[in-house]
Amino acid sequence: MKHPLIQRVLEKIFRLLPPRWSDGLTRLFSGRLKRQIEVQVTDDLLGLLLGVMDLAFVISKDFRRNIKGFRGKYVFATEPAGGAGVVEESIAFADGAMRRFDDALSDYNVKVTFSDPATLRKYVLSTEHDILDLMLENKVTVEGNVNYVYRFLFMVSDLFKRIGIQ
Amino acid sequence: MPDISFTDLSLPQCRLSARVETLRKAYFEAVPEICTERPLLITRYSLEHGLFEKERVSILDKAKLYRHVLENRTPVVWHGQGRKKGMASFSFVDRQLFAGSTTSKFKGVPLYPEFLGLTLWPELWSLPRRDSNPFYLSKEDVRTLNRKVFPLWMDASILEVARKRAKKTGNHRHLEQIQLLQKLVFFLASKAQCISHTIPDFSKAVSQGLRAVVDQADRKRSLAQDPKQEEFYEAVAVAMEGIIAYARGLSRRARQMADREADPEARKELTQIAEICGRVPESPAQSFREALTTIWICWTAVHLENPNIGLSLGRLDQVLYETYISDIRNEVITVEDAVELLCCFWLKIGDHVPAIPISGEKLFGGSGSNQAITLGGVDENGSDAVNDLTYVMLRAAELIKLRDPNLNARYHPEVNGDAYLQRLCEVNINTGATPAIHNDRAVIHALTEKGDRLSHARDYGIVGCVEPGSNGRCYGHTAAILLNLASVLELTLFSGRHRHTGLDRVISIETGTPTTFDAFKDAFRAQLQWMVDQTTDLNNFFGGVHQDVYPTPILSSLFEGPMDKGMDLIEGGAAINSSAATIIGLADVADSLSALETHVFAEGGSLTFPEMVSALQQDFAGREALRTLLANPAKTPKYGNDDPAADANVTWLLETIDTLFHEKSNYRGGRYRVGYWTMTNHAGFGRLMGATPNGRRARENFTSGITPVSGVTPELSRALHSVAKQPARFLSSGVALNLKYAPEEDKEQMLNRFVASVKGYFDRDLDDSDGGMEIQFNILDRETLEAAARHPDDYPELLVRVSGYTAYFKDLNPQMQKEIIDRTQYRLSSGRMILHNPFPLPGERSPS
Repeated sequence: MKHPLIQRVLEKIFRLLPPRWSDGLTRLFSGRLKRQIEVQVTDDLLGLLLGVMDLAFVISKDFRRNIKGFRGKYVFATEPAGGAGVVEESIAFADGAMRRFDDALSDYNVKVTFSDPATLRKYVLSTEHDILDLMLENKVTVEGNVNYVYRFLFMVSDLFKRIGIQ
Repeated sequence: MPDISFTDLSLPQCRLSARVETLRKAYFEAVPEICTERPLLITRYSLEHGLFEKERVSILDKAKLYRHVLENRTPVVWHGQGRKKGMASFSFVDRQLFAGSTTSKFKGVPLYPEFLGLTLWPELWSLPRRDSNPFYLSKEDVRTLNRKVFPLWMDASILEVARKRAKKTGNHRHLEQIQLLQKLVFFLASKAQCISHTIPDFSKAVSQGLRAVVDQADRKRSLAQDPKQEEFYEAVAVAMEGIIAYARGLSRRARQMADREADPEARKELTQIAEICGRVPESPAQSFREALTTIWICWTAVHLENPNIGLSLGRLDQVLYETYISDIRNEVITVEDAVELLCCFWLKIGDHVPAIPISGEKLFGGSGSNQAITLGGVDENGSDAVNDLTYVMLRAAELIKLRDPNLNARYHPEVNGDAYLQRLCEVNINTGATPAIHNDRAVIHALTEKGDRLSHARDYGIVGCVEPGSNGRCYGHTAAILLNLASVLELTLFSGRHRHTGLDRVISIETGTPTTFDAFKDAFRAQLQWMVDQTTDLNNFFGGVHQDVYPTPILSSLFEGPMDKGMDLIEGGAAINSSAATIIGLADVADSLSALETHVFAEGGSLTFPEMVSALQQDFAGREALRTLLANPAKTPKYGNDDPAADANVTWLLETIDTLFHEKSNYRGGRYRVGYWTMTNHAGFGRLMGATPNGRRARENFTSGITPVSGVTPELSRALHSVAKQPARFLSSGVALNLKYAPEEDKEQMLNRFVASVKGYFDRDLDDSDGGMEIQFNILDRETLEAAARHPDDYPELLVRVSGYTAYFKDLNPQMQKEIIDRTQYRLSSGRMILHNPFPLPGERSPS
């Protein structure tokens, strides 16, 4: 978890960048994520995705507008290959920032469980039109307010647009 | 009965005018554009007036909100611009005869964030690029929706208010039902999406004007003793003032345009529009055009309040007849003028499409707004109601060939003439898909059996797809529940478990392993009872949420009942307060019962129940001989072959379903009714389900509506007889019987046989029944459909009947296209089925 003070300082520094530069800078840090999405997915996709998103919120003032005034708590769970047990990632949005937590939050607005990282990949690439299939095949379950998922998926699509993932 | 003045009922002298040709061309060229005006105005007002914080939003709050939107929305007189494929803008000469629009766009997508509008959120950037039915949305509008609209509704949509309420009160039953709903495979409960499905009463607006409604509301308010009634009447007045203000805004805008217009003809037309919108809908309509304008402007307001799904216009040939015939007699207009006015009106009605996310497109795509118009039949006294305007409307529909409005014709076999039926069949041949034809005798009987007064039943109109409801009196939410009957079968086969959700988990009740057919039917009935309990309970719960946060002042003002009771429709203000379920998978389940009866439970049956279940679990892998046996109509009784055993199973299902639903009361004090029309859900639900005992493989489509399963009914007359013998009293929310006829060279002979087939189907002498209730057609050759599936862009206007409504074939998803191509096709000259191989889905096709 980032220290809020460091985050604020970084945000102030990056605010000086024109929007295209901040997107370009985010792109520099998103090579691994891009490879996972476009080439081969591995078990740490969720962590990578949230990491790049977190970074983009710090770097890009324009991307940060997606969470202006937004309060929401998410739990994402995936089951890595090889039966290594469920991996849970929790994030919270508040005060215009994203926070990641090591422990699962219990008071979440929504919890999304993916049967495997490949499912997560399909899920976030909503343009692949696989979301319904995944839900129908019981590969994704959503508990709680599904509108929070829609918002998150928009942020992912917005992030991908900025870093050149189509 | 009014005299019919036409010698040739087909009105061949009426053609598409140059004006309509231009508008129609632009209409088909245009890609739908998302309109952010409504959601933005609604959201801002709700924020400023604290509506998001309210546990209960009053009808007066809503009326003020809608008045605000009506006073502030863009008054569009002529669009003149649209977006075409590739999303480039294009211009056209827009000389529409009717001002106003559902959205601010030429062909718009209205958004209702109060319902499921937020489902588009993940797709905002990709909507213009998606393969299936793309929508245009500017970057600015993406930002508007993402930042200023959708975030406010995250906790305020109907579904989320319901979930929060259930959670807050610790109501686990409703939470579990919502979870079942989200599994998609058991049922859909559509109150999260809309209620809408109903027909307003336009007669007062046309004949007296909205000012009279305001005055009546003011009078009633001054006399009201109950504060709730007082508030209701105040809300009516406020809402009607909003509509009047919108019309005045259109009038002002048209006058401004006229003042700037250089072309004298255009200036004259704009001046006319300004004058008309200055008079109506506030004052009584004094001409046919004014009456149409009144309905049109009220219609845009109704859609402002109610999502654009299934709202229907009713018996327009009755409501508009007086103004039409007066104009004709006084030579104010000619019949050709009337056809042009109607074509312009039709294009206006179709100026919007529902917002469907990509997942919805994939499962249920291709649907328009299903705005039904009803023609003909009998009047409230039982007399012939077919008039000149009925034929003028048929001609307009025949010429313009649009998906929306969805045209439905009533025909009473003992009252309406043969020439009328012949014309209905002729329009079907010429359009390939419309109108659907309803048997008045059967429908009226079905409605009176459910308690409707005879005069009200006779005055029914069609709602959405094919659902009958008394015109302007029945608030019936005909699509409240969409029940997958195959899931009831599944729960019976697997003792309360479902393959889709895992056989290790009991979903409903354990009914064990039946050893006789009667025991199986008892188990089926128990599972059905469980499903009826879940669906009606959840629908009533959602209904309560609507009562608290979504009153409907505009619709209530244009309805029979609320003004007398001083009560909103959602509280039970209508004269008739039913709700309805529609059932998906009837024929497949009925044939499955017959298969089990014959091959499992009959003496000497060829397999045991566990063997059947095992074969289904394996999707007949290694059991092809068994599958062939089960699918073979010569070896296994099939509905649609006039086989008494198979048809009896259908009747048993219909009676059982109707009985269980009708025992239930809804949240407005009415009772549940049942229909058999499936839209595209038979393809959607089919995709979710495993193999069934009738030999259907996993993931294959179910059969539409009340139609027998495709490919197992070789003789048309037997198929019609099987359906017609089903008692109308169990079908009170309508049916869709989908038939496909091959076009034939001898048109006259084809038409005669066509008419004979409909008359035979509607004949009451058949087993002393009321005759078949409804019938709808696709009259297309298979080659055209196959070519359109492969090259959709070459067939932008190809109209087909799905199961209830009409659709453009290109808009349907591949599964649904396949279903229509594979439907049983008959040659009328022989009355026999034409044999075809199943059409492959895209991934299965060889390149061609």
